[in-house]
Amino acid sequence: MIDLQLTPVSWQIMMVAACAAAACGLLGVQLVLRRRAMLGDAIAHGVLPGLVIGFVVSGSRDLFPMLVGALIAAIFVSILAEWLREHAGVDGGAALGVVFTSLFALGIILIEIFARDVDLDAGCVLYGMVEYAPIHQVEWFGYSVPRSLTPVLGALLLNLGATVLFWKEWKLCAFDPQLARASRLPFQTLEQGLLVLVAITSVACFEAVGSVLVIAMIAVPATIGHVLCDRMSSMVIVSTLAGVVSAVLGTVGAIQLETGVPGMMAVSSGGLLVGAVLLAPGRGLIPAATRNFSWTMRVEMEDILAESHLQSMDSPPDHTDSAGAPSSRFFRILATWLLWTLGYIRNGIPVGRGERMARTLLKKRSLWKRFAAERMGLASDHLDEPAHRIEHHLDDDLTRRLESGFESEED
Amino acid sequence: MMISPNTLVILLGSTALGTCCGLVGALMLLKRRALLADAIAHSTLPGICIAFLLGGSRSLAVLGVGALLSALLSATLVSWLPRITRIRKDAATACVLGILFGAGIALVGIIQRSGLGGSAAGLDGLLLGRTAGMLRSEALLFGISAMMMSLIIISLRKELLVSCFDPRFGLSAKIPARSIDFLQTSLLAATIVIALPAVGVVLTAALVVIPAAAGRFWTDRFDVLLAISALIGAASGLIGTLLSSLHSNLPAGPVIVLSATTLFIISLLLAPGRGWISRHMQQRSRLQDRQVRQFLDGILSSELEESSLVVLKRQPVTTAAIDRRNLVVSSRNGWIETDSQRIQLTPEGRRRAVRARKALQIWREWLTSEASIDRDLIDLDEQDIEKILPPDLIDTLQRSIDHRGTS
Repeated sequence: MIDLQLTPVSWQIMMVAACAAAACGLLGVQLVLRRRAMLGDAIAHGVLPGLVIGFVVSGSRDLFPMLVGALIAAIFVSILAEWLREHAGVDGGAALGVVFTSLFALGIILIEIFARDVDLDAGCVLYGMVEYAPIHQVEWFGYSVPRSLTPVLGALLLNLGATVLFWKEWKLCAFDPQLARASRLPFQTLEQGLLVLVAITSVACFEAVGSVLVIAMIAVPATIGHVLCDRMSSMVIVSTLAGVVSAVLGTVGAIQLETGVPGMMAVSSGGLLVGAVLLAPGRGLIPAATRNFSWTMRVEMEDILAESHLQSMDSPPDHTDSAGAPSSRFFRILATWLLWTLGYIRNGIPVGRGERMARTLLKKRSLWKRFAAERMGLASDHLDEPAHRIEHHLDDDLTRRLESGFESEED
Repeated sequence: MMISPNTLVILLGSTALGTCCGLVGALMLLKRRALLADAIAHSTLPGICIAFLLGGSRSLAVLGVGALLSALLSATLVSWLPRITRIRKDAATACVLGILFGAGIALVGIIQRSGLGGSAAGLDGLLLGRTAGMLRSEALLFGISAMMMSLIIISLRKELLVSCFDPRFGLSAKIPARSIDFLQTSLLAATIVIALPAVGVVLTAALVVIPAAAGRFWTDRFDVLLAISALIGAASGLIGTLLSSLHSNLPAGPVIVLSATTLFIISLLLAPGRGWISRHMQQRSRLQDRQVRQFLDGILSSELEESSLVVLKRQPVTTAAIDRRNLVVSSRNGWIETDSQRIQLTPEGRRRAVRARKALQIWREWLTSEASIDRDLIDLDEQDIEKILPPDLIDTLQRSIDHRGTS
């Protein structure tokens, strides 16, 4: 049994991490919908020189000047990348890549030149220091909370407010930018505002949880939402929840494995994503595979039943060899075994329910052949193959309508 | 200054490395997969850590195999996720990057705390690179493998060209698109793994992306792009390593990247044709040409009407400043003669104005006869336009005109 040992310190770490993850998850939805998920990565790296300059100018590790510097750098990244794309004809991905890697390199050099002897290195930008969050405490209404909770919670509330306030506008901009432009929305302003929010969020989260986490938490929870949902509202909820759940799992995992919280949060969000991809109702890989398998088995079983029924009636053999769905020997053997186990077929003759299925299928086949010949005017040698394909798809309703159509014709 | 044999080997190694990155980067740029490099570079970290935990050594071969395997895994995931799920390419890239890099950092934490000791610092070095401290044998190894990969790319130029621009045609010409694609991805992965110890996890992507993006300003041709991109890569490798060896406290990776960035900015500004300055000049001269044409046309009209009024007053759409410039340009080119009262076209100026007017007439004729646009719709005055177009649309169009005017 795992002993969770959640001390108050762990709770505080978890709280900061969860707020950061939720703040990123909210914005991630907008970015993923706009196909700009990599922007989180770019901004998370690109803020480095801004942080360093803010640090150098203020000469202290105060949060505020560094936040301002980083914010300016982040806005600079997004505007510069956009400019390169629009006005210099650089491919979008490459533009982003050029800008943020250059800025990151610049940031490292600035650190080496100006801030070598102080406790500011690229590692702490990347990894963050959420573990140390509980060290610095501030008083809130008589409760003692980690200092880094303030910016993270602020970012969360800001993003929440913006998401609620600009719900309709952002939705339009994400799904139909042309319409948004044409319908007098301040399209540019809205999109720029989103970028500024991404910048604020990544900067606010940086000190608490590091840029790795910003990268993962902007992309992964929103992608989980995208895999699971069809509506923006549900996507926002799922994404935020996924962020919070990964924060909880990540903190617990980090305590268990004695490693960093941000990394473990990224890993647990990855686990959630794998789960969503595999199990998403309807379109997950496992449900889809199950559906395909059961459909293949049904077609195989129906074909075998129909064939053996025709043989047992000594009818002239139907040319089924090339017709019908392409099947592998494996599925054929499996279907034969299943039919025998279910008792649908005995000594090569369909019995009971099997016989009924075979008759139904043959009826559908002949109905369709007749329909194709009479109504669609297909030549007689073109009838077999489409009939073999379509017979499995005719449901009861369609069969009845075909029947009644022919009957009314005969009347 | 003195260059020791050791430095020379390292210089050669990083130059070869830059060349290789430039070549691979050009391919990735054309396939619009520039950021894949970033994802792959970041996601080598867990592979390296696992190799370290399993192999228990810091030997580059062991770590390299681990890095290569996880690089291939991430490349496969990025290309495979959008195909079988509804996750799009950008989200797949960002997710794979975030998750695997996060896993790597978690593993680094585990290694550091499990007391495997000083060697963990070596893993940390992988984040930012350490060309200066590169061993001679390592530099040799990287240089040779970079050269080999460059050779592969150069010898498969034609196949890669086809797979970048027209994979369907490639299929019909019996070029196996899938294997070429896989080859490209493997080359990218291998390049990144080789570049890792020199420039580090975070900045390897830069070395792949920037030279190619810079090269793209200079040319529209595939072979030339490969060459220029390789050249820029090589130059940044060389310059960066030199600079960082001069200032021993500068880590090599960032310096190499910033050298590449400098070359990128130079290309962005100065490249003929696609460079910013050249584009700007083209745009200006086109605008000026048009204004001069309109100016001459105005004079022509007034001359045809045989009115001797001062032509400047017939130019309500242009500002006085533009008029003055047009006047200067036209008279400098000998298209008009001015005296104190009147402006007159010279024969040359008249020929130009008439030619422009004729071309415009022919264009209008083509619009009506061949493109069958109603004659009434081509030359409209303001009242008609206000009648035909809804006010909303007029507003929108006006805004886009203003926007173009200001940008």
